[in-house]
Amino acid sequence: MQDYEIVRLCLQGRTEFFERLVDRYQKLVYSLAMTRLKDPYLAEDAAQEAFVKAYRHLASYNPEYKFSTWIARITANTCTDLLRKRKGFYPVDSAPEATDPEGTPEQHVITRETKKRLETLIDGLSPKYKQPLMLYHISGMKYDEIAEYLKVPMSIVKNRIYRARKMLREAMED
Amino acid sequence: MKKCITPRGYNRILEDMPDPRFLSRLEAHCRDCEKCAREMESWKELKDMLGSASGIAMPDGFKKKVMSRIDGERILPAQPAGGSRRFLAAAMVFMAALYSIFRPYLRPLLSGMVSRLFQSLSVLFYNFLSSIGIDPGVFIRLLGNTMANLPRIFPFFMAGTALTTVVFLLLILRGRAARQSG
Repeated sequence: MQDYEIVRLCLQGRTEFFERLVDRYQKLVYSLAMTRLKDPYLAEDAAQEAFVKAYRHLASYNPEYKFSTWIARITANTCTDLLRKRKGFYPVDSAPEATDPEGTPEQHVITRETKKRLETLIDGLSPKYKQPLMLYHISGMKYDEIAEYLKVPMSIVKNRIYRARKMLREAMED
Repeated sequence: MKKCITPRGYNRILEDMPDPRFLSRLEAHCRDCEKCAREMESWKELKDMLGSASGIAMPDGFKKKVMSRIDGERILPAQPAGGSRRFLAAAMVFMAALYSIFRPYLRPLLSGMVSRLFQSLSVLFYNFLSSIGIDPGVFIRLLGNTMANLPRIFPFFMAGTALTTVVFLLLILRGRAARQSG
């Protein structure tokens, strides 16, 4: 079922269908919040709040746009508001990680170290390159969704992601 | 041996669904070319790193928590599009009407305000120039001329102010539109 059909059903009073949208976009919303806030507890709060806001304003959703970009924008605004409210907030460095239950403790350590290294490398990129790269690889958005979200042509998104990857690869070699 | 792969070519490995024909061509080339094989390894390493970073685990019971919060909420009626623009246009018309009605009182008031502003600025400027050891005479004469011609430049000044205000308002509205969802 398409997103706009789910939205239509919710607007007709069948609000239980909203669960499908939560199912579809929870990872996107949470990863966006996590990327922005770098704190698992605050990110969860922000992600929940973003879904509640989306639900409240479901009637204002314009089906001309993708639901993913709409909810991503709501998430970004929610994170901005949260950060504004909590000036001087210091993120907790204890993000829950998706660990392979089959993996050995050594593998978990390697994964954690790899993530840390990558985070450091990505943090070194300029926001122009960092943002589309994160949206593609971390939040799992498609090129067209990123283009719609960032309001830039898709060719620019592709080019920025390519350049970001190239810079990361060069940084990895150094 | 075929031409080596360009960085843009390697970049295609990192796509969600790379073209299998391209991948087999790349692998075939890398079997013969040590330089490209090394290059490909490094791109694959980046792909693995990015892949591992994307594995953010959802907090336990996230969906349930969202759904229970939504239980107490209701869907608000749709907001009319372009509401703020209409409000801005109405406000501008109102201000223009107000100015035209109270023009005899407002004009000398605004003129006085601008004169006072110029005076204060010139004093500040004078002190600043004196403090850095420059003769302020040249600038004072320039300011004097400006003040003398103020009635003539006043309409230009007002037009410039109005234009700047409109540009600022448009920028604010654009910013708000960008922040709005959808």
